[in-house]
Amino acid sequence: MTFKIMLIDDEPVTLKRLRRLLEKKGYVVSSYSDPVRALKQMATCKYHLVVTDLKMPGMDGLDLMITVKARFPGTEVILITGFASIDTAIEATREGAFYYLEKPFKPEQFLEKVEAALERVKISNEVGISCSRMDDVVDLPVIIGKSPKINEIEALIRQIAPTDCNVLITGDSGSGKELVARSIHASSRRANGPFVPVNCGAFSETLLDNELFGHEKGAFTGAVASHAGLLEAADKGTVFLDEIGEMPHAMQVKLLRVLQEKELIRVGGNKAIPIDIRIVSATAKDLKSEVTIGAFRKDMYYRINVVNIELPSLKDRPDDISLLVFHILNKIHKRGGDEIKRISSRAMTMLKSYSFPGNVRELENILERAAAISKGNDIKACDLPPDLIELELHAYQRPKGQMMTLAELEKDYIAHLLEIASQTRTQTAQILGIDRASLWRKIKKYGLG
Amino acid sequence: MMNEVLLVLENEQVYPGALIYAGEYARRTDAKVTFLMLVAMSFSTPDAIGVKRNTLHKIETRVGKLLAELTETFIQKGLEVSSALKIGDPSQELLKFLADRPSFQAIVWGSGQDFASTGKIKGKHWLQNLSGNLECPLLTVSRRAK
Repeated sequence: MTFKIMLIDDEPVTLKRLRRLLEKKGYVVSSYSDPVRALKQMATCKYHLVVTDLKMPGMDGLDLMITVKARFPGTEVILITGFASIDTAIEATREGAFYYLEKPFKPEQFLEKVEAALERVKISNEVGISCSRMDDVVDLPVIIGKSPKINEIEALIRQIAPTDCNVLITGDSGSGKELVARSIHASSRRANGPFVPVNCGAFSETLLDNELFGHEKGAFTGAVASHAGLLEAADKGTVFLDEIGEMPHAMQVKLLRVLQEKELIRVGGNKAIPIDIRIVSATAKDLKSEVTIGAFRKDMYYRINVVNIELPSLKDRPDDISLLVFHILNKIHKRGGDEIKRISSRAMTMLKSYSFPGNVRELENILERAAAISKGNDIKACDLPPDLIELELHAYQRPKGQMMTLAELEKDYIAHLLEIASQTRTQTAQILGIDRASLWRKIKKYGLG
Repeated sequence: MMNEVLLVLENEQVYPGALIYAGEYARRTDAKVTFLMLVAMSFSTPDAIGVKRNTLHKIETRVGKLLAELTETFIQKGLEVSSALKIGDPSQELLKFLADRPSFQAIVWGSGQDFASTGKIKGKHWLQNLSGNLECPLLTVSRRAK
């Protein structure tokens, strides 16, 4: 088996030295000084190991590693740095780094870690979690469910994926917005191009500008080289703009221009660069209301919302819970966990009666925990989190659009104050700032006496 | 954007079940917990502030201590927490608080079990009425019947 290794470092000398070392050992090596370009390359070719520097202009090694781990789960990552700290080392390991190597290091030390990382890749392949199968998981996302709403969504995805229209996915946090976006990308003519997810809420305005549009050399202090942004990296592919409702106004204007003109200008640049991208956006917010109050641009809203896919919350499709449970347990088994064959009816009833405010993501977490602590091949009620066993939850959410009248609010507020003031009308009137006679009239009017 | 769950408490009443749920929920969804204590008080009369200054000071001291104790247990579990105290009309104060912040993933009622079980008076609890205007689900926690 020939292993492919991606080397990323902004220092050409280190890059050259490490490349020579690895090639001598017979590995196929690609080296890049720009992490974004490296990611773009990784979307076209499968790599078994990524060795990346921690501190690089444009994108730091930790962010790069998180992206690699999310997009290519079968790939191992080794981080190297000249600025080692315990905190970063802990964070890197927690996020899934195979090893955190501190500069300067000896060649044999480096090769030892590379070999160990590739050994892990090899073992993973042998136990069945091959890179290609993991790619299948990433590239062909499956939406699990048999509820009418999910069937409708699947049909809609099949219908719109081959077109190039922009899509807005709305739904609560954890309801699977990114999965739907990946599904659209995987079924589109852009499937062989990159899928670039960007969380608009994770960056400040300046950073988001730089991340999306890139910059020219000398655009600002520290811009030592030209850098392509994520929109450029997504050329011929799909950009997934998560939490689009958090995008600053100025950025919306810039992105609108990209959508209209199909070209962008890097920060500090003056040359328009043509790009061919499809935008799939997602938000948990009611974007229409945001438009009404002026927090989101109307023209931008209509531009990104050519097709709207509204994802139901898990509590609104309880029939899908059992399907999802078995799918997730199967996924855990494929990842190397124990095989869980059954789930007790009591545990399933408990799961079905829970309202899952964290949606599918929360269900996944609950099952991972249960699978880890269960003894044997089945999950029992006692394997579920203690709060689910002991407590019962009720979710209150009025049907959308149904608002309270002022009178209703007043009535309920007076009733509540009467309760906390133990029916003492003098005190209630005092809190309300009205006289007792007025309170008496209101109590009579609303029938609270 | 980090997930965040809001635990709404009213008039210094704390229901332990809600604390257990908020902590477990935060742990499994990697969310931050924000405690919001609402204390009902009217400021509509012109001399209200002067008259109530002493009361306000006492409430702040008492609630500050209570919130510190509550948050401490969460911090010990390794959870990220923050807390706030708002005095005035509870529904207005909650809406103002929510307006200043990014949306929460869930709001948990932390001062009792289901709203229905606390009401002696006809009419719904003010928070239950607000649920239609909230961006996220409002949850109440009660002990499961054995």
